[in-house]
Amino acid sequence: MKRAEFIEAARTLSSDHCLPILDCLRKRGWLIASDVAGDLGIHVSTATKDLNSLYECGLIERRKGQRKTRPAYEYGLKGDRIVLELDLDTAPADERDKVVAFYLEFLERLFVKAKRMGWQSVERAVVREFGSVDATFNDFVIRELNAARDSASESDLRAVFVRFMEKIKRAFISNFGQVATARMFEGAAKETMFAHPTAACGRHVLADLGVQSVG
Amino acid sequence: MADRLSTGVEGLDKVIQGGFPRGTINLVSGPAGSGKTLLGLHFFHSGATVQGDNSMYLSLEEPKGNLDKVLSSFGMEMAPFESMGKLILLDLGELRFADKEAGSMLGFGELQDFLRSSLKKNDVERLVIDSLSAIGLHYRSMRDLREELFVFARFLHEANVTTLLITESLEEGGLTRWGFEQFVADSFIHLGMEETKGELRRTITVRKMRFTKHDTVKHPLRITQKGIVVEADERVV
Repeated sequence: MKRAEFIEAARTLSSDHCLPILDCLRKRGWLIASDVAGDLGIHVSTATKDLNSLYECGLIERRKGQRKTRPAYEYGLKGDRIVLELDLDTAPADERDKVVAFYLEFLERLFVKAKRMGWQSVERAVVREFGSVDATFNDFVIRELNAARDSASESDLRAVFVRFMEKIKRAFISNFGQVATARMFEGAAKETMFAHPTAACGRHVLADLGVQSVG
Repeated sequence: MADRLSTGVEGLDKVIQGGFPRGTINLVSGPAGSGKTLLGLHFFHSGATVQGDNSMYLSLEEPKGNLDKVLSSFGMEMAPFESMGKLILLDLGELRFADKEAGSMLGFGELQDFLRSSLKKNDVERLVIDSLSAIGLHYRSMRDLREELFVFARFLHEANVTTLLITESLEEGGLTRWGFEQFVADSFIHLGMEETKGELRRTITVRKMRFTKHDTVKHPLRITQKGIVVEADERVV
């Protein structure tokens, strides 16, 4: 379970009515919100809200049922046991945000350098490499990194970043040569490390990029 | 394909039989303010606009934004040719590091690595390097610098590109920054600044040009609203 999901499930289970609701469902099987509210002596809207929260967290199941006059959701247990598992390798959300912010800033600085260096030919090469012509390359990378952000540990994000950079590097080298590319990558990395001195990924970035001091 | 590439300055073309011979290395030297960069920009710009050549300008010290301003202030349009890939103006200052340990300046070897990829990729026929003086800072000894410059010149000849190299000359010194740049070049043009009656006057002299009949007269050079004007029929006395 991801950190955010774990926190949400634990918060839901610790609310006033959720454990009594689970007991109620275990005793009586599939129920609609008004049945639960009647059994526990709480307002129907409170029961509806808590049942929905338990369902959203994946702790109970839901199906469409038919009551006398109108359709209504029925709720039931998945089983007799609820287990919450937390993968501690998953980085906290704020740490992931820092990693993504670091990489995005690096890319921005790299693109600024490339633009000053004559970006247009490189842009064409990068677009060819990624087969992306429907959006600017910047947008493309940001979208991919953001997509990885929700599910990734820091090492997963590093892997996504390195995969991108290998392709970008190929496009740069074919236009600018090895030395100029290494210098641009290293310059952008150093500027980003200076701007984010505490970002953990900054420690690995030069090795990840496969560049070294030249000159 | 024309044998000669216009310099972009009519009066200078007149002095050198229509322009630089194709595939040659041409050196321009002069003190600060003599018009070296502007002459380089004329050659660069006229490549695309007059003869349809792909041109590349490598600036090692001047930011790209400043050169864009110079071009536009003399009515030389850049953007449409840049987007077609006909004019490529690059700021190689981006490759310099602030920390000297990592090597702040590019050397000829690094420049060669860069050009090996970019000249062919962009079908470049005209190349301007502004300036050699900046590259010279990479070297600790004159001997290394001279050897590397020689190797670099061979590379440019083999690349079959027509090159304009810009170098400084010191106010009180020789004609070029180090005194030997002119020996690797096929042509050598010197821009001067002479004081006459309390006023500085610009001059241009073609001191050497292989495969070309030219005079060695010191001609007046003026910078007007349209850029450099060389008075081919006048001489400075």
